[in-house]
Amino acid sequence: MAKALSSYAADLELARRCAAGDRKAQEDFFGRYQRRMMAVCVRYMGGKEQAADVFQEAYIRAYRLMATYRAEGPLEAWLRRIVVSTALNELKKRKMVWLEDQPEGFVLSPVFNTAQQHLQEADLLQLVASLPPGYRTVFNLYVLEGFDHREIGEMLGISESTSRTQLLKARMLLQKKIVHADPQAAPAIKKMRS
Amino acid sequence: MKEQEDYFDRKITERLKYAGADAPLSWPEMQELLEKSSRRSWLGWYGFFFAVLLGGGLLFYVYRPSGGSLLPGEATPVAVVQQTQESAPAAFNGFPSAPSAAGKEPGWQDGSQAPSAEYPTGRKWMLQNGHSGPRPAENNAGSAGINPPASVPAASIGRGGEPVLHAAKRQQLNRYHRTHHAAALQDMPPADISSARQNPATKEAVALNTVSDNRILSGEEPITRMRRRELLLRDPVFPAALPGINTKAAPQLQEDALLPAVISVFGTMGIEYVNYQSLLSPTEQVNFQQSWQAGNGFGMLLGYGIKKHWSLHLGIEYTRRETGFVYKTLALQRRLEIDTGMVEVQGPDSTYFVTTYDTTVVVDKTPVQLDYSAGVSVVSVPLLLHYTVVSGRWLLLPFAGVEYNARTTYRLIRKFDEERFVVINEAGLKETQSYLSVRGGFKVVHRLSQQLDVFGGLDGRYLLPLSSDKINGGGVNILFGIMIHR
Repeated sequence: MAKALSSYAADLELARRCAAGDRKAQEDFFGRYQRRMMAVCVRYMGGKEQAADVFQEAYIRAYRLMATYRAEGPLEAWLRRIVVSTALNELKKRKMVWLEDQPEGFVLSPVFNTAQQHLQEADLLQLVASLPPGYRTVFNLYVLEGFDHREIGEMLGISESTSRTQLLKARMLLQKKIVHADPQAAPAIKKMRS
Repeated sequence: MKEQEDYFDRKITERLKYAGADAPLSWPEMQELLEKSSRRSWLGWYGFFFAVLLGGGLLFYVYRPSGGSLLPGEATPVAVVQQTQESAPAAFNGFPSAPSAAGKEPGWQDGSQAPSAEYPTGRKWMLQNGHSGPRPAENNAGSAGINPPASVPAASIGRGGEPVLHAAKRQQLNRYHRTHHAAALQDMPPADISSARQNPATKEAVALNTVSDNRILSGEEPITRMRRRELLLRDPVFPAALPGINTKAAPQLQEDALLPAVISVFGTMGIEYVNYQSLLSPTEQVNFQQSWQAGNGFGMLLGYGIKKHWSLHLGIEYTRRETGFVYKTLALQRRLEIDTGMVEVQGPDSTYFVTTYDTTVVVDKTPVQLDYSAGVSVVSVPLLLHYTVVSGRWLLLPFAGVEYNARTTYRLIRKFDEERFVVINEAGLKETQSYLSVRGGFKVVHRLSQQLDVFGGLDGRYLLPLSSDKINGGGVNILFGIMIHR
């Protein structure tokens, strides 16, 4: 607990200096979180170009809002919220198609575990990014940000059931992509089918 | 099934929660973006304030209390009234008040002796909406106190001495009368109103007296929009205000004279060479090297015509300037033996400790350059005399005047290794200090329409070293903006 408080105090100090226009602190802030935040942008936006735009916009917003950081949580989480919110704003400008048909339940593939272990982090990230926008957004918000379906529904202007459907489809499609992306998993699947 | 889903989610989260990807830009690029964004934000604010000023000017134009300006060569209404009252025969001054029981007003003479009532046709009336000529109660002549302006157009004196309006003019007046008669009656004493109501001729007189539409009182032809444009282009001298107003006779016109004939909304961009030495400590002052400051601003001027070619402009302007300073003497940097994350910097007059991210431990002293930057915001109230030179649609306006300046914010920041030390007022808190300056320059104006001009120009400013902090210097600005005519 004491460590956490101390960590937030350091974050607060960094934010304060960034807000005061201290270029060194701003550089430090940028360097600390840039890779993780870019990954968040890629997960939400799919393409690297769109992700880069969101990344820039989110960082500019963050620097502008830096004085509002109150050390109620880690600075990274605060920045992440800004990045996610910027990405969602961008996604809302596009028309996302929400398919309502209810798929069958999710069944975990026996080769999923090994397949995901064989994949590099960057590859897995690309697979998530390659999901259709609707699936991808709900999957990111639910699985990686920890929002529930009610909150997601409110954020995206969809019903809870739509959110559930999107998540289920996202899981199924992502699992399929992961399994197919692993060259070692393919013979195992063939064997299982035969 | 739920367990399988949770397992899937957990595995993905473990792999991706803290995943990274190469950022699309480096820190220098990000820094550049931040600076651009900051500049854009300032531009946005300037744009906003400019738009507010512009909007204010347009609102002023739309809801102005009076509806037109004097055109070149036009006499003021008051001047016409005064002139006609002086030059017209006494009998005419009584025209066309309600006939007395004897059928004639005292002083009213035979129609043959009366001058033509088509008088003074050459004059153009530019009385504004809502403005009347001399008020009935304030007129000396006319027993009923109903005394129209002496210039009654398109009318003549009938055999019985009653006014006879020509048919077209009568029709025009009747139309006017329907809408303005009630308003005219409001200005009259009750006795006069009843008298006026009893006599149709008096009704006309009331209408004439209160007429404020230049299309009716303009003599022979109404001043159409086209005609105004012709006049404007023929001699587009800066519109003059109303000189020599007889306030007793026309209090409303006196009020009107307080309103500007033209509003300029403008932006400025320029450089200044202002010495802020006195803001520094004595040691720092020795090392101080003055430098140019770039800046920009915006403002508004209210212009009043004082003579045909001369006008006086009073307004308000906001300018913001930033600069970097060179410090002549190097400071000494000494990194401490124990790495505390701090660096000691011995400046010429004081020592500073700077947080550092560099873990290198240096024990010797090395000279370093301290950089300074200053930001200043100034609100100025210029009073400028303009002269107008005309060439077709183009006008050249040389001007000169004085300015009261209030420096509302300033900050002076000492920087070392990207670390900032506030010397004065980093937050830019209000600490107003005032000084005077003289200003001169010229504007080149292009008349887009009767109401709207655009202009560009150049001006110079010299700060008079009269203030307590002895700030002095000067600068040049490019001006650009629009002028809205009343």
